[in-house]
Amino acid sequence: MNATLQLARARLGRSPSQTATQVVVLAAAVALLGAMIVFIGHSLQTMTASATRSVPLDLQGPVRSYAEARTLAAKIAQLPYVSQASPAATAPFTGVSHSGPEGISSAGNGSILAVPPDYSRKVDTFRFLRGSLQPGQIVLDQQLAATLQAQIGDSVALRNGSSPTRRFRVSGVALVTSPDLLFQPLQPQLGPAPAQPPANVAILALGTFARTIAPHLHSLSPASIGSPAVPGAQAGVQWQVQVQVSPAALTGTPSHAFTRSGQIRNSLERTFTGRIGFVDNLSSALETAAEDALYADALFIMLAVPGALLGLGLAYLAALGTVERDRRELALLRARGASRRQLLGLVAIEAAIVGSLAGLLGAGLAFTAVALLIKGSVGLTVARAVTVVVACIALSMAGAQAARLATGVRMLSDTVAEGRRSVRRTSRPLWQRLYLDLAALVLSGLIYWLTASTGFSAVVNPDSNPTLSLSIYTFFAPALLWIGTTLLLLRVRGRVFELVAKRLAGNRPSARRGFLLASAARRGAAINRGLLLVGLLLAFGVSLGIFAATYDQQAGVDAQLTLGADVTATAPPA
Amino acid sequence: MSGGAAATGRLAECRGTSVCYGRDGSAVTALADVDVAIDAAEAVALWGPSGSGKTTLLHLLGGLLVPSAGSVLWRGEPLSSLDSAARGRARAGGIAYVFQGSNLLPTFTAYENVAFAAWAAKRAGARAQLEPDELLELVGLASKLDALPSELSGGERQRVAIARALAQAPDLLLCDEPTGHLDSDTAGRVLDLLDALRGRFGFALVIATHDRDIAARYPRLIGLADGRILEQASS
Repeated sequence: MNATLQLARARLGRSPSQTATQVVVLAAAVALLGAMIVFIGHSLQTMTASATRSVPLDLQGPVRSYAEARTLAAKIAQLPYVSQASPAATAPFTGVSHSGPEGISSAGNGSILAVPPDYSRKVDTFRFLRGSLQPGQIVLDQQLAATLQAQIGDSVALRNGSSPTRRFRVSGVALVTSPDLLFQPLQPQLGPAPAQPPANVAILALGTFARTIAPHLHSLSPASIGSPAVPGAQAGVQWQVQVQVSPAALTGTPSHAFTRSGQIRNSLERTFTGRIGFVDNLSSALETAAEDALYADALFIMLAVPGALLGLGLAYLAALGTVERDRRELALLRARGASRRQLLGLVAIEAAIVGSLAGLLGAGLAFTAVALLIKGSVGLTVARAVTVVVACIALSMAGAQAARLATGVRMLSDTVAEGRRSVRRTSRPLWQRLYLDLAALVLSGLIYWLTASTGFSAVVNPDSNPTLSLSIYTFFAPALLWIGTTLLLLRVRGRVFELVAKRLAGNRPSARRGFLLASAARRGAAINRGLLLVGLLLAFGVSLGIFAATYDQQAGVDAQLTLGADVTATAPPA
Repeated sequence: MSGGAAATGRLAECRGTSVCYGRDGSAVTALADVDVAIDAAEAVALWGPSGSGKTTLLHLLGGLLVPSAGSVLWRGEPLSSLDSAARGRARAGGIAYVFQGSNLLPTFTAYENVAFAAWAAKRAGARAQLEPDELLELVGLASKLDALPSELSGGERQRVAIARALAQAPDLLLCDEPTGHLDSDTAGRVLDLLDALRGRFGFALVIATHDRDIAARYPRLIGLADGRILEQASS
């Protein structure tokens, strides 16, 4: 093994320019795939981050009492994947009034949100426009403050049915940004159900609320279906624990983050079995993002797979550069007594060395290209960087191994004398004898016919569930069409081109054109390689076209589903 | 033979030529102060062991190599001082090679290999007396016109190479171990063929060989060793 390794190194080192050319071409080829992995990975992670950020309140767990809310929140806050856990409560009020210089202003019923004073530092369900939340005082939603014409320092009276009216000094005005989540009915079995938010919202410090308002209202039971589905009709105090999941726990693709968020919720519920169940706003948002990410997956399938094939083809072509020399040298070694195993080991080691170098260089090129093309951070984690490097190395090694091992195997199946020939006799390849090109085209047509006759479409119609549905079988038809067309091109070259070239060259060429055509007619391998590359490029182009058409069609369907008509964008009047 | 008539007088000459490969401490002297002249229609054998400088001298005479010192003349004109393109034109106009390996173009048939050389020579102003198929018939390959090099034996390939050289209508044919890859019977037939063709077309022949018996077939022998001429004999 050691001798084989040394021989492989010597063979590569003795022709540094050829080795370098192979490495550079392979690297350029695999850089395409590497860049695509980085880019799509970045896009998916951006979707995850965006979906996570869009959820102001991750988990809401209804509990029986203030004490239990405080106890559980304190325990949950200690867990590693939790960034914030707060006890909170919501309750109705029947009216609020303010006596000012211009008389008494009143507002109708609404809801109270009770949270700890430091709540808004980590939870983004409301933000202060003026002032802050102070124990014993009240913060008014800006709409309510406007209705009451109340300012900071004024006193407002809060009524709640038969309970005594309570007066609070206004300590701030806030904009409640997520009233639909804050005041939704909390039924863990049913999940999130954001609904029409209350018209008037007042915010109290949780301790103040527990001391002044809560004793006069009954507490809603977590298991009670009696929790009203209509906001404003809430009959009692809804104690709850609000939990924010640590963003560090939600990485990767939206579907991965969705799975993870579900695991976190289950873990919480198992840890406090029977004491709390959660309404999972986070999973709901991530599930939607994961469905949207199907577009990215489709993008990957439609772009990266043909791109990878293109890269593999280029890698194969790059590795073919030294095939003829390899064939003669390997035959010479075989003539000197080297075993088949030793020779295959030699070419495998050479391909591994070239592939590794090219993979590393390709990954570097990919990172550089993405860094240059995408502004800002691409969120490249160590794991993803390693994935890209491994993918690049694997692809370049596959390309190098395919060409070299094919040469080695072919040489071993020939006689030594045939292998040492400077010019080889050629025979029809196996796929031509098996008519795989025609088989692929027929199968492609059959799948197209089947999908068309069953009315299946990759794009949903307005009558169906508005979720993108992709079947792997949908991709078989174009894939087989690409393969069949490319192979047919090769076969056509082998027959028609040779006949045409021969006819044009004439039997006895005597001028430049004749010599060129005569030579071209016999350069089957080189022309086949060129055609293969053209085929792959065509496949890439068709793939892009199909994706663009599918995307446009889906966007049109989405617009019709949402608005009932196509959207027409017009420039604003000058 | 160039232009259809045999040349007369002195064709090629090396005057005090030396060739060194490498530089400074690693320099190797392949030829040292060699004087050789080749006249029209004569046959000369360059004989010597491997590394004696035979191939280097052939390359000098054919303008493939520029000497480190001294000069090379072709038909009295300095060849070594010409640029590469001009030396190429001079070669196409009268100097042909037959190498140890036939060096045929692999995607051309036997006919096309010869026809291509004829076409290139014609562009340089030379015209062979015979057409490519006639030249192949002359070397005994009339039935192999459409055979690719991979379909020919070693002796057949070498005969195609000779026909290809003749298609250039050479005044000087330089052969570098033309029988090195052949068995003795085939080698004998190739040498006989070269002699017959020289008799018919009147070109000068310089053949490099390490085989003393082959060298002895020719009326003039130049012996080389370590880049120097050891003997010159004419019979």
